[in-house]
Amino acid sequence: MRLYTISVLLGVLLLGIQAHPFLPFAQQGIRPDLVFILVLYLGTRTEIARGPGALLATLLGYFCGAFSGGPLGLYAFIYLFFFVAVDLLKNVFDLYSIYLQVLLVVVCSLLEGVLVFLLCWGFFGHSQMFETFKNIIPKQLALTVAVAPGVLLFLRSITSCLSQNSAIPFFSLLFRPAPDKTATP
Amino acid sequence: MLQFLLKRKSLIFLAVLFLVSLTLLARDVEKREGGGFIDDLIVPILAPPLQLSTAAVHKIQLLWLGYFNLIGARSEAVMLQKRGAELQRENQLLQETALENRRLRELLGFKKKLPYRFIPAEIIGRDPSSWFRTLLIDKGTDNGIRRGAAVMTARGLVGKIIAIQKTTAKVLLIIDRNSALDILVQRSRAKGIIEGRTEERCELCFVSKNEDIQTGDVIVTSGLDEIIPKGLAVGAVVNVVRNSPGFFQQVEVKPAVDFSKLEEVLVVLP
Repeated sequence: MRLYTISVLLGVLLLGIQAHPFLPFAQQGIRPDLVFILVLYLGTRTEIARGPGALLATLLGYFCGAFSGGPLGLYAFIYLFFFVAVDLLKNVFDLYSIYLQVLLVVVCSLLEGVLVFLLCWGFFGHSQMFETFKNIIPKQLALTVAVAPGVLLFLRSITSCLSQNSAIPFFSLLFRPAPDKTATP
Repeated sequence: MLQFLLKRKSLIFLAVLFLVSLTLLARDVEKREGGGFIDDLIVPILAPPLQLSTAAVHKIQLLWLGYFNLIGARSEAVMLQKRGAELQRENQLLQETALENRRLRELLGFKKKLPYRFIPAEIIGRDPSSWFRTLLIDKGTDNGIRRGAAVMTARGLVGKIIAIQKTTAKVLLIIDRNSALDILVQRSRAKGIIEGRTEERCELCFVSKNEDIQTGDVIVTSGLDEIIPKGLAVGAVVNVVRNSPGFFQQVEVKPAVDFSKLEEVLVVLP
């Protein structure tokens, strides 16, 4: 329960940074999707169960939607979709390594753009939407990927502290081995 | 049956979540308006910390630029910049009034213009998504703001209010794809609809190829929508394509306002 509460608070914090008017690395209104990184990260965690995790992802989506000019359920749907996808994926691949998590952010950010494009095109029927897609996607992807390692390290540090009740040096998490799943408690 | 459902409760829960999200998405698209009970619930909780942090960063910026960097000069430059922008707007409004007077001087019983009031508001948040262009301001229904009210700066039109709470309001920028506004070309009085194109650019739509539009022409609001005053600068024409297929010419407009540098805005109250 503590992890879920902290995740909501982290979501609010990341949303606050993402929507901040003085965000230094935002270029022409294009911002890194920090809350999306959190949702993907939660999807990779074994402590987060599918049901409550999906609810959490939907809630974070509504938070984003409330501040965004898009339709309200857009981000709730997208975050839920990617949380469930990553949750299913973690049963197939070991997504504990930070390098794999960064790769996951890259792939999912690209797919998120495609999904937003398709939903906006389908629902709004905007003309020349592909031009916007072409202009936004590379910049958004570059920004999200640039901040992803830092955000992921921060999130790993927090969740590790929560699960072990001890502080872990920030950068040591880069080279920390994956937990042994076969070990008995 | 119950056992079957209990076995698949996780799957059913996910299906319900997807269904609720899609229903809300479809409902919001159909209505094409922001707000609603979820906005009313979430925004007032998240807005105060955003407002505090914005104010803190703003104060630090002012301290750094106004004291350490350029003592006195910065504040003077800001004052002169504001004055210059005010004069520019004043000049534009005067030009508009002169043209209007010339056309209507022979008419009697000219409809008296309604006086507008302005409320200054500070930007406390921007759209967290890169796909939409909105702002969150620190004024709401408590300050007499209404949905649909125009938002401007001294340089020109910024957008209009699409969602409103007690102490905050969401502004749809004119560069957002969902924005469409009735306008006039100041020189030739050609009419059209200006639509956002997201990347700091707008497009003038439904302007016949016979209309006289040139690069550099100033675009102003038409005032047909009574809530948005007439003659507010929207932008300037940067590109005109007449040899495109169809009845209309393609006109690209650069907005008068630099949206990346916005910090304060004025909300127009009729």
